[in-house]
Amino acid sequence: MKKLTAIVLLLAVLLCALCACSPSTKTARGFAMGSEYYVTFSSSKDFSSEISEMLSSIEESFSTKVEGSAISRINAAAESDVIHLSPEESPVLKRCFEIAKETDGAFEPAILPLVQAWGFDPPYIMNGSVPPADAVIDNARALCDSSLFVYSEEASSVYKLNGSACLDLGGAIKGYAAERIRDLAKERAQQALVYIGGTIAAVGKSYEIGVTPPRDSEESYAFRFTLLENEICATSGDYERYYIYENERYHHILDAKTGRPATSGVISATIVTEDGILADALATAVVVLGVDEGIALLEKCGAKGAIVTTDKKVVTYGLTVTIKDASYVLA
Amino acid sequence: MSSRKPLALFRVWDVILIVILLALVALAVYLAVSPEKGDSAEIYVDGELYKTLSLRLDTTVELAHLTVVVEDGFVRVEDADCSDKICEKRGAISKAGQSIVCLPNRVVVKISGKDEVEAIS
Repeated sequence: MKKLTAIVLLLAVLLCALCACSPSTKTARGFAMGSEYYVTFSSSKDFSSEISEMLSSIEESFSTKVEGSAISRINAAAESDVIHLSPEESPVLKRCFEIAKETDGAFEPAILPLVQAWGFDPPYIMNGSVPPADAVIDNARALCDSSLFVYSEEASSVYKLNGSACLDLGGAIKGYAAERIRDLAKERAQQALVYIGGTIAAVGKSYEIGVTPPRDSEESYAFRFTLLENEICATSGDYERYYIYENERYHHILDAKTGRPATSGVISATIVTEDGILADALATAVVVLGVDEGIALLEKCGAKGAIVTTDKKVVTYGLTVTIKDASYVLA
Repeated sequence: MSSRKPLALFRVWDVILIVILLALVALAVYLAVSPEKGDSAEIYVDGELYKTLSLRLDTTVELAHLTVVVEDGFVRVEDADCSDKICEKRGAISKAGQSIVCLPNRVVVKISGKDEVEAIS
């Protein structure tokens, strides 16, 4: 009889263990900021609607495509028109202008005139695009300069020194959104993986993250690394949006200094920090700057990263990576 | 001392119970650790799961703005009416974790299954 009891108990324990193996995880999915997003979380409470509301509100503030967004109002403003910013909008602009300064314009929030000149403004056409004439590039380049924007933290406002200067925070806003959703998830869930168009945040535990092979590959990722709890990673590369014209690849990561797609020898940069805007902005900046200046920038900003060069070398800074696609080699 | 039959350690039903238990444990372990191959493709429309397709079965699913084709274990998008055609240019995918995204039409095709990575940046 004792034995029977023991067996029944064992069975019960086993069942409990089985249940524990499959915690109830939920996934919230959708589209925001011109990207697919999903948040996979384990929590007793479903906060999917809070996630989509938060992402919509960020888009309504910062999209160049939403009429009445802070960015649209700034872009439409005439020279010297003062645009007032909400308590949510002001710190984001402040951070973007700060990073523009720290990266000496390698991350340039005032890049919109060049993005439009090159035809990378959505909805862009992947095939059949033609690079703009030099004169068009030069005109646009003169406008792509954060110093044409006068931001005041005290007044929570901004005005322009040239009415034609325009902002595009596309290179930073997914990082900001990932950070906001990460902070929401920390309050609502034990664990969560936040994914917004390739920008990823880890909540409650670390996650294994693969990095998209920047060139054709049999593998789903070129290499992988561990994203630690609270960290956010962002990847930029010349393979995301580009067109080929007369055998030349014209990609969407534009160097505000030359007015042309970056030719630094870096084809992909993955940056890891706990600051979402910084991670996203540095991913762009490192592709513009190249390996040496890029690594120096990561050091200065206290960020980690993995940089892929044209000859498929992977240069890391503070990050341990495991190669999956053997055509990529650790430098 | 009177001789007694040695106490049987296991009776028949005990043995049967133990075998059943062991089988259950084996099943649980198998379910927990067996690597799921990328053997099905999930089609999401507007963030909602629309259909799951087996990659072992060649098939064609026509959506409003594009067609999803499964052929020889690969899935690809054809006849997309969007302007950028990024989804078509993505080509055919077959590995767990890979996805094809058509932003203009808000369609995602994702290969399900476990991999060493939990997301791709």
